[in-house]
Amino acid sequence: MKVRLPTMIQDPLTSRYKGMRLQESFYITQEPFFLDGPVTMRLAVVDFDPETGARVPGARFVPPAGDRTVGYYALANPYDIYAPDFIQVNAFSTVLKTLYMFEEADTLGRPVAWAFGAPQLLIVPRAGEWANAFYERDSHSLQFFYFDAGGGRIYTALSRDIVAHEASHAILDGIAPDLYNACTPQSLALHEAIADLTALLMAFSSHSLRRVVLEQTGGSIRDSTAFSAVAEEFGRALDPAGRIGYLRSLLDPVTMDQVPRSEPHALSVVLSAGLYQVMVRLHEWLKQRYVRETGKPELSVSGRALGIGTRWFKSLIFRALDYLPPGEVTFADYGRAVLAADQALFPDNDLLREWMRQEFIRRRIVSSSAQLAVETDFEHPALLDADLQTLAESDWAAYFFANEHRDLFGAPMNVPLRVRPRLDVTKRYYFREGSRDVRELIFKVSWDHYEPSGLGRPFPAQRQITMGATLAVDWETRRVRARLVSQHGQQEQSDRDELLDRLASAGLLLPGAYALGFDGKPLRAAVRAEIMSDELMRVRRTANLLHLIPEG
Amino acid sequence: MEALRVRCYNVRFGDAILISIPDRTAAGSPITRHMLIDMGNVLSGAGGQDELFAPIIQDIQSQLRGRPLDLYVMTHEHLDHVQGLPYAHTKLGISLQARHAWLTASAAPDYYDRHPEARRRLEALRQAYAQIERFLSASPSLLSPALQAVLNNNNPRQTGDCVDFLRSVGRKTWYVYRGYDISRRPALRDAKLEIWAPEEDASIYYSPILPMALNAPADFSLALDTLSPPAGVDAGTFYNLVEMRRRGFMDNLLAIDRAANNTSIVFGLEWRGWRLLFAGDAEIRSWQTMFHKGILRPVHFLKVSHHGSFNGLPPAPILDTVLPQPAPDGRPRHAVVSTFPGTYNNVPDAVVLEELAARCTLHSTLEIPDGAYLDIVFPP
Repeated sequence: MKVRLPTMIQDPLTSRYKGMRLQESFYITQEPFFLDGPVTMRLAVVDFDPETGARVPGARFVPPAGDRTVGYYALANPYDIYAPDFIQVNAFSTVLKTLYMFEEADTLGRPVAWAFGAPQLLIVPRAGEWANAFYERDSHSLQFFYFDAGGGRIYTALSRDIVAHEASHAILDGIAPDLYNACTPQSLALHEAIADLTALLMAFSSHSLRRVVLEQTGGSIRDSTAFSAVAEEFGRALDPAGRIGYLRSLLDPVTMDQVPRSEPHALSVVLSAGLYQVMVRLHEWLKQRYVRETGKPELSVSGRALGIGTRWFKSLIFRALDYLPPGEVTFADYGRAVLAADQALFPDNDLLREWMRQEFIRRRIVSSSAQLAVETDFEHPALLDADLQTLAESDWAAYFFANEHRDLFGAPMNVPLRVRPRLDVTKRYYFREGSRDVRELIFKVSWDHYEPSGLGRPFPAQRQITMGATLAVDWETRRVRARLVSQHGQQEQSDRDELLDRLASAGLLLPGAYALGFDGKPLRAAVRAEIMSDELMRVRRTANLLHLIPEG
Repeated sequence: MEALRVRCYNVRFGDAILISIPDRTAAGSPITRHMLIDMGNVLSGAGGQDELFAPIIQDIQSQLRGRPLDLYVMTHEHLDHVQGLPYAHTKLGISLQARHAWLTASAAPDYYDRHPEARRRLEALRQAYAQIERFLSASPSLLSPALQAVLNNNNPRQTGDCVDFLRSVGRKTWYVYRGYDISRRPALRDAKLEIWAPEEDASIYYSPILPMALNAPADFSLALDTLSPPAGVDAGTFYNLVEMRRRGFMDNLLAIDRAANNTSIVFGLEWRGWRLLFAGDAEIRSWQTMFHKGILRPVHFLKVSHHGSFNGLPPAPILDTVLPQPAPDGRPRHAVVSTFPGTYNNVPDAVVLEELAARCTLHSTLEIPDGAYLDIVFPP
């Protein structure tokens, strides 16, 4: 069934000052059913009356009938973007579009499962009055709040940047669930950087926005804030003069030594702005190439260059997420994963990989290219005769294999291993002569690592963290396409110490039962130090820092 | 009496501490100055037994021998610290008077007129409290004893009545904070008092609140007409969402509790080389502020904050400043905790008590009968 959905191009304020229309249409065919809400197999809008708390009926679905082959949601007034039914449908369509962007064959090439292990992500489009929006694993939901500012009401559910940003937290939680409990600041910052870049890619994906912005900037994304400022309306409403909250600039030249190493939001800009610079270079390079190939002026090829560049860039930054080792990760781990993804995509063209290395060094994420070295495209005897289908389907077979071939995973001896659900993915690769689908087995194992907690009593002296390895195997050739193993040293341990010390000092990291409410269930905003024994703890729900804990 | 004595009464879950300090009059004659810190216990459950106040106040009166207290200190506006004297006055007909009374700065009648940011934040907390109170009165099944205790302890109306009474306990009442001029309030010749907390601007102690969706009753079956899942959505998942959306009320109630605790008057008392620290119910935010202001010093006595909870224990580096190991001057060190189990969640905390006991001699009101006292004596 084909269904048309309206979606905000950006947010009400930004669209108006850029002289754009507010909404565009989005057609979908992949969903098995649509119900009022909107409700589908994987997403459900649940709207509540802010005053009474009663559930508000969702927008009514009108299926195709007669000559009309396209279904739609009946809106009382399709031009009233502040009407509850429009807000419901817009939040739904933006989340769905974001989800598709991750899942497409030229990206992950697989459906994403939610981290909470249930089929539907719930979307609450008017969650209450607050200048915030968040993803919350425990309630399986995205919650978008509204607030009054400057004489008007700002609905975060009407901002494409914010909805895409929060949706990407939910999606990333499904892809790399360990990040939710990570205590390495860069792991949490990665969540934030990917969410900001997702909002950017959603902007690039809008033909209307691309056209308007490129016309206004003469075909460049290099210096324009049109794409690079995240959640403009929200930021301006909260602070007309400055940049706070969601309003982050991807043009920020900040480097690792200029931000506090334990502050995930500040750290995230180092990575997201660094990757944005790679995107800018890619766009410039593609434009020059198309100018050479077509003889047309730069402006007229800039849209095509941005479209193609976006696909390339999106493939890299999202595919890299599947290659991340499980557990705690660093920006360098992610950088290696991006390089591995690009190596698979363009084995003979090192251009983008070189830009990546340069940017990571310039931002002082690594000090040399050697730190970004990643093992790709090699053969291992254990894989030649392995039954990949059985490894994909059987936990027992996968565990036996991993345990037998620890060297292949770079796993230490004498530590218990855990195998993660294997992924059977089929990704599309584009070549000059056309496209080709490549089937990969993504095989992850993890193990526990122990280090001093450094917090002092009443926290236990040791903490447990998760490390691991990811192996991506070409199903056809059985060659290892990429192997990424956690690489953590003293600096990362010290970063974790700093973050946890900061949280404990602020009263946000609570040991054991102190993180529970009066009913014995977790407090909503607490980061929990689970006491495993007198001497050992592990940290849970650090992602609350990104999603829920209000600014003090 | 030549030794300084700290007498800690067992009021169950609350505080009542009498400090008796050997001092001199203006003419140089020896005199004992008496200071009472707080008097109260929680209103609900076994932790609150008001009949205990009678023998305690009688004991204090016998120590005073007809004189008023030199100083009464109301550390903060929580019932387990304030309701004892008003109760004794109205129900038992017995009273204590003081020459001077210190009340925490934010209890001043005009405080919030002078501090608009604190007013804004307090109003948000009070509004949240009113919503929570309404919700829980309609959902009594949720009211566990611990929840009831926190709810009662933070009731602004009841606390307000007690504070109004306490304004008149002292002939002179001072609303104090760090930096407030307390010289000769009261006049001490051989001892020195120093206020370490709270800061004058109490807004730093008020956390932002989480949104709460408390419109629906706790029992969803009473609201099926307005609160049923949409078609295509699993009912369990839907009601989990509804429950999660309101769960912020627990975070908020604890934030309200924390805010009041952090406005505690924390003061140091120095006498003949002994340094004593009375921490009220200061929680982490207050400890952090004192630490960053560079005020904290090693002490020989600690009145354990917040009844031995994790929240009241200074974070490790701060505890190392207050009770470093080993003791810098080799003098004996003491801590006293006034507590009662089963009232607040996880209070007292065994690990907290263990940590303190590793650094000094730990005394607890749990070791003595109800209404009795324990003395810690510091010789000259």
